[in-house]
Amino acid sequence: MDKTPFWNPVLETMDPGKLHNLQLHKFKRIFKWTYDNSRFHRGLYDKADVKPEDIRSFEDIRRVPKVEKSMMRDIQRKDPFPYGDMLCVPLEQVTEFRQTSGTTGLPVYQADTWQDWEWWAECWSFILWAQGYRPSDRVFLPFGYNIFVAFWAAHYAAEKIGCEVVPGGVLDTSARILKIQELKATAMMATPTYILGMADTAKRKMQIDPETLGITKITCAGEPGASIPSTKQRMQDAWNALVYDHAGATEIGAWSFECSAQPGGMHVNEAFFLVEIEDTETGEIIEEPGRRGKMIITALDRFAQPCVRFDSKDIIEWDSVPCECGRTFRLIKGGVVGRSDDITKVKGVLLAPSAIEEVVRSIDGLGNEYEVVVDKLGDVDRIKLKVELIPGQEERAKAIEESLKDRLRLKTNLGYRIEFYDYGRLPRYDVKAKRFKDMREKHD
Amino acid sequence: MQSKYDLPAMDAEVRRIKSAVQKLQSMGADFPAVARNSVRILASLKMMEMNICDLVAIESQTESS
Repeated sequence: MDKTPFWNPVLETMDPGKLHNLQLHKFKRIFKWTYDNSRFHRGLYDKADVKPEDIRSFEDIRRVPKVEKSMMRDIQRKDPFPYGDMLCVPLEQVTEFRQTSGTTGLPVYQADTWQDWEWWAECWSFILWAQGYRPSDRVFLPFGYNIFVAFWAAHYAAEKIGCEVVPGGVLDTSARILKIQELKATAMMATPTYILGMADTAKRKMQIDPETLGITKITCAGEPGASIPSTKQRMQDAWNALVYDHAGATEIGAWSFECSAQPGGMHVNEAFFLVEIEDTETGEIIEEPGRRGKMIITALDRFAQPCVRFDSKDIIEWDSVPCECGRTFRLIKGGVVGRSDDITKVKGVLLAPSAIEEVVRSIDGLGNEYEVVVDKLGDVDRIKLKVELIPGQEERAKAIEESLKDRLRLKTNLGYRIEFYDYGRLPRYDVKAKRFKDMREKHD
Repeated sequence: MQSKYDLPAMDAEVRRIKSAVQKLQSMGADFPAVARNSVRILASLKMMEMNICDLVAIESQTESS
């Protein structure tokens, strides 16, 4: 069993035509369930004059109104408290409460029944099996388990697969490193920021080379870093381990994953999710590879608080090349490349913060941390990039600055003021980093 | 169905177990240890349905149409 590369060898290698039939069958089911059981959704669909019996094809699915996070915020805290009338099951069937991190506004509350929680773990089982996790693994989770869904479902999935799971909850970074060393853990999961931060702590504060700790694979979540080639390379070099990305969200589920072939993108779990890519200008659904748009997603098997045509704002594009791993689940090229509400205009140019990270982490001599500050002088936008030099690189500062400016200009079409800081001066983050600061509103 | 796995047979087993657990659940309505453990087993069986039975259902639909 352990040699099988697929968690579900039938679903993951299914003929794309059959897979689409399965998606349509499941969409009809979840749409009818949602229409029949959620007052919020029924109102939305009645207003658009779409009934369950109207859904016969993918064209019909596109008539179903999208749900945005702001709508979920509007209804929550109403009856049944605290989820509002989106809830499709009696409250006594709810066994899990989670909430979003609130990065883009007020947190959204999410209810799951035990069945939906099993489904979360099932989604993660597809991910971990594809990344080579097996019952022989001892998986360390260096994460402060809390009210957010992050890594909880990964923990349950690792157990389901048969791994031995070590919860590294309230330990500090040094204690976690020592525990990994003591227990000879073989795998771990964390945000890219924390993976790099742990390596730094091991090397500089504990004189332990993380390469010697025996971690063979790392799964990342929470930030796009594991799909940014330079960040991924830094993590792999630091730990001498394979680093894999995955994407998921509290209100969606764990919907995509990088497989062990590391194809430069992520597979969408198309047996459990329907992903549509919408042109942000025209609203047209993009079927062909190579055109970016925002993701509209349906979780096909989540029932208590359903996710039907949710406007995730994630920017993605289909890849044209099939993966060598043999999965027929389509790839999104380069993973999630940004969010439609993250991409901002600076000096009239569209800027994705992940592009800056890719450049900073591609330059030898710079530390992992950086900070971008956009402000305004009069009517003119300015961008300042704060970076740290690795100790011993001070003499190369001028050359590094020139290289950084050149590559940033090439990558983002913008000019930057560079500020160097002593190593360790910029903020460190354990969970989601906030490295992009737009101060322009304060000038308006 | 062309597969090295006998999905219809697996589907039948899942249905048989589900029926048995539902029966157990109704027998243990006032017996928390039975009722609540039944909920957990049924949730696991739902995962089997997602992995096997949904596939068999669409295959049957395709064959009959």
